[in-house]
Amino acid sequence: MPKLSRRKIAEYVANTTKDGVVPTGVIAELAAYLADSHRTRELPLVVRTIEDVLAERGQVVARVTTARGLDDSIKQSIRAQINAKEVYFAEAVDPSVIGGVRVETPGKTLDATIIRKLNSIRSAKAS
Amino acid sequence: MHIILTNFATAEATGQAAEEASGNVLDSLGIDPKLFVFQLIAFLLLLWLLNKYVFPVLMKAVDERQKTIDESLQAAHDAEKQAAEAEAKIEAMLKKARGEAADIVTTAKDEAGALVTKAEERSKAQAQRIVDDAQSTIAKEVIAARKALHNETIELVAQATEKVVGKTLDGKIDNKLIEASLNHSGDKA
Repeated sequence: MPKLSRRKIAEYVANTTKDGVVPTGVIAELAAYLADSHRTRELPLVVRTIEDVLAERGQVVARVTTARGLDDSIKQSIRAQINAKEVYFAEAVDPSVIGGVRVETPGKTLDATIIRKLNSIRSAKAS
Repeated sequence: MHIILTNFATAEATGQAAEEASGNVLDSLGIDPKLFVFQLIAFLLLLWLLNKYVFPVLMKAVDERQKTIDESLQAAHDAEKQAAEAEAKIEAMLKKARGEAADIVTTAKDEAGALVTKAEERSKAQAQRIVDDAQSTIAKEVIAARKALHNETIELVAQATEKVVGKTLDGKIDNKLIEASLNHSGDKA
């Protein structure tokens, strides 16, 4: 089996994506290919590359982490901030962030969580 | 010898008689010529005997004695001379030794003084170094203590903030905080 570059794989998956949803068959196909070519460790990088390709096409996947979940007004605000044709949310609830929000998009990260601020205070300790 | 004495006595007796008869000059002087001759011969004989057998032995003994005395005198003289030389030599050695001792004492004093001075300087330098090290150590410890206090304070503040905010922050306030963060981020962009 020829070894495909991550970019080619990402472009193939992005081409099959509709409304921000990757068909289940494509996901299974991708998983089979990675397992067969012993490249399962590259999965996070492949996913990131897919997001990059989608972002280049104006379809941004935003990974949003909050302590209590997102409501619509917040999503609207995030969409306005990202300023893309389409924004897809990958939501995560993590109480350890205490409060605030962390938004990760391809090439950009906004970490406005309280835990990040506290950690930055901690890291500012005199060494 | 006994014969000689007997003859001598006989001759003297006969001589006395002839002497009385002759009555010459020698008589007036009280000298018996025969006795005189005999005595002279005896004397000469005695002198010869003495000279032949006694004097050489005596002279030899005397010479040996004289020689011994001379040698003793010479030895004494030599000993005296040697003693004088030895004394002079000893005196010179003593003088030299005194001089050397004086030099040694002077040198020792100088060296001791130098050593004491050097030791004092070294002690002062060492004491100063110890003081400097102690001050440096104290300063470092003070700085470290301040840093530790600062860090502990920050950690305590962070922990306290984490707990207080975690308990008091509700969804409404959190949403406001998120909106504010997003707006602030938008302003920055």
